[in-house]
Amino acid sequence: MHNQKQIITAKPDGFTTYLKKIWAYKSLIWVFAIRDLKVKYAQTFLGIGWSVLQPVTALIIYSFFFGFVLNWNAGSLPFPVYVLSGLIGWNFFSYIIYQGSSSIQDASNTIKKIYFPKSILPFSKVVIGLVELLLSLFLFVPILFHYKISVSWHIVFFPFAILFNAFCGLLPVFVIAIFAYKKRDLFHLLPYIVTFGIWFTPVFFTHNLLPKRFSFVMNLNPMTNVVDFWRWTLFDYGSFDFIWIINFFIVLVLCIIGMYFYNQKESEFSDYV
Amino acid sequence: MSQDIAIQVKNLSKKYILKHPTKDVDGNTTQELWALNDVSFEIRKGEAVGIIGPNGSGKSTLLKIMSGVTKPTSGSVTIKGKVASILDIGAGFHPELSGRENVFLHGQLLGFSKKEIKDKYHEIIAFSGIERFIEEPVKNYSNGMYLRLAFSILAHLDFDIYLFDEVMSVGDATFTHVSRQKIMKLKSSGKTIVVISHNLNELSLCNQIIEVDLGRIIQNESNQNTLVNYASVAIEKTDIEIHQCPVKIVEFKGQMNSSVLTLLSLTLKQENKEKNSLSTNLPIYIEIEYYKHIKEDTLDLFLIISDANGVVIFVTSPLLSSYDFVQQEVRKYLISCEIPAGFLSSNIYSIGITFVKNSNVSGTFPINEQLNEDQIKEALSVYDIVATYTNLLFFRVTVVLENFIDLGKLNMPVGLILPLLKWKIINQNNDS
Repeated sequence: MHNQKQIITAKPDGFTTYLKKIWAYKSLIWVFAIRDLKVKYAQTFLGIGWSVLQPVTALIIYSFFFGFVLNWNAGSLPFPVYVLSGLIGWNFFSYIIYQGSSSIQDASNTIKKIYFPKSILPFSKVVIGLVELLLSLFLFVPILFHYKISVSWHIVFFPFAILFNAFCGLLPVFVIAIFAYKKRDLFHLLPYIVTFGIWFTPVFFTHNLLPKRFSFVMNLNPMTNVVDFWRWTLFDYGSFDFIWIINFFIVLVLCIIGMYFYNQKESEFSDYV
Repeated sequence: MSQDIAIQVKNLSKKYILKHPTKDVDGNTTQELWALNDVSFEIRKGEAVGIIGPNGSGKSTLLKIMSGVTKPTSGSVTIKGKVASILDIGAGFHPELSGRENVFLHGQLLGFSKKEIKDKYHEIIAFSGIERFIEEPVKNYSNGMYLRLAFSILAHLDFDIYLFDEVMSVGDATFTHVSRQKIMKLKSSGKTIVVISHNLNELSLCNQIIEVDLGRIIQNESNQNTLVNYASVAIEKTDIEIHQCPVKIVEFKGQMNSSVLTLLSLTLKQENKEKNSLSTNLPIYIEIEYYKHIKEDTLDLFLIISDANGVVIFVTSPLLSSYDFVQQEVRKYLISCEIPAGFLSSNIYSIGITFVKNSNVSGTFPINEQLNEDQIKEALSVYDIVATYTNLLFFRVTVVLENFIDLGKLNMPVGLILPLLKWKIINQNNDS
């Protein structure tokens, strides 16, 4: 990439050139991800254990209040298994949103001094989120053992659930970055999406808890699809819904459009962060 | 674009939007700031180019655009080769990571593969001289260690074009020396180098100087004169006059009176016909006139010639040369020092004088006899400094040589002095 003749003009790179650049700099995704993971657990005693402790705590609290106190149940799945399968996906989503959106700010020192395609930053956050997700999945081992539940063959579709999940997280990151690099108001929307969004996503409640007429509205939220998709692939819970595929492609296309505009704007990031 | 051009900058402009409107040069209220305004130039492969200009003149913006960190508002930059942009030393470092981890992190940020860095790793660490601490997080490093490691990474990875933004001025003397050596090495190995600097010494490595001010190129020349001009303008901005022709100064800034002496005048003389320049083809005379008030002690002086940065180039004194007069009487003295033809260079010089008195006339030094070390010490110990005057007069000299060779064009440093010394051939036989 470097060795060719390079022409710098006012025009942003074309989208294909941009994708090629991301490919050329792809190793940076890992470099940043590994760096952040090392930094995150530097000078800690538990180290990576903290990644697991957080969902464990949430799982205990949610299971206790909703499963034990309110006595909600999830039909064929034990309540903790139901909650955990929703929670891991939701955590992955919220991690990408929070970390991805602040990634430009956090790297301001570097992006003002060294060039690289800025999409690398949110992508590297997805990688970190993925690592934490995989660690959280180990929580299933003792729980599934305890409830004597086996995993469904649908698990072959699990990567698609993860992909869907990641795109759901990246979409708001791109959209917010495009609009918020000059005026930062949109960053204040993030806590709303994350703290209140969980109440619009069946993480710890089930669809049948809501009146039937709301189910269509719930399906407009792609994270609802993601969480349902997760449970379907892992435990054959619920039934496959065609709308998942439609929403997956809608999110994917919007994500690519978002990335296109992100590319158009990113050369200005270093002037504003 | 021809083959030997490494960087071509065409009609480059960069506009920043200010948060608050300000008045521009013409008095209009504007929120725009043109950091660069229609800048064009070319840099050939293997050249070392210095960019100079006052703070806020657009130098750094220029380098930022060349390195791809920010986009221009209009115009273009065409670059051939792998670029190392060192806008800030250690910009990619993460404080929590160890030195070793940061070598890889930084190298990969600069576009090298892990393997390429691994191959150079030992050289990088050896050059940095901090092997012992390489596993420590860099946040615990001293400034110097940090700089050494960061510079070492850059210097050992193989780029075609190096962009430096005032990086050498941050380290200590050793670092400055080492980095200068390394840059000279890069230059001689045919790398293209662009340096932003305020340090004229550093810029003397460059064979092309681009002067930028208010976002425009003022000068783009290839010789030493640009640098000296730049230095003189910078000095004159501080209300100091630089004399370019013979002059006599009788009024000085500051106190020239003391109980021992009064400095009356300082004269710069050269017996040339035009009288409108000081050149090196004829001797230059510095005449110092002063009144000696005291009777008991003898009075002597040292003449200190410095460059524009205040670095002392040489010191001379009648005490050190053949000394044939004792200044003991109370009266006016006028003494003259001859700087021989073919000694100074194209540069700005400043004159300083330090007067010393000797209360023990019998110990006047040097005495015609051979002295042993103790006697010299004793003789010297009787001298006391009575007055020191710095920067009494700035003057600028132009090199005029009979066999004139433009050293700047030969890509040779011109140096602080350019003495014509005696040369002779000792052996011109063919056999070895």
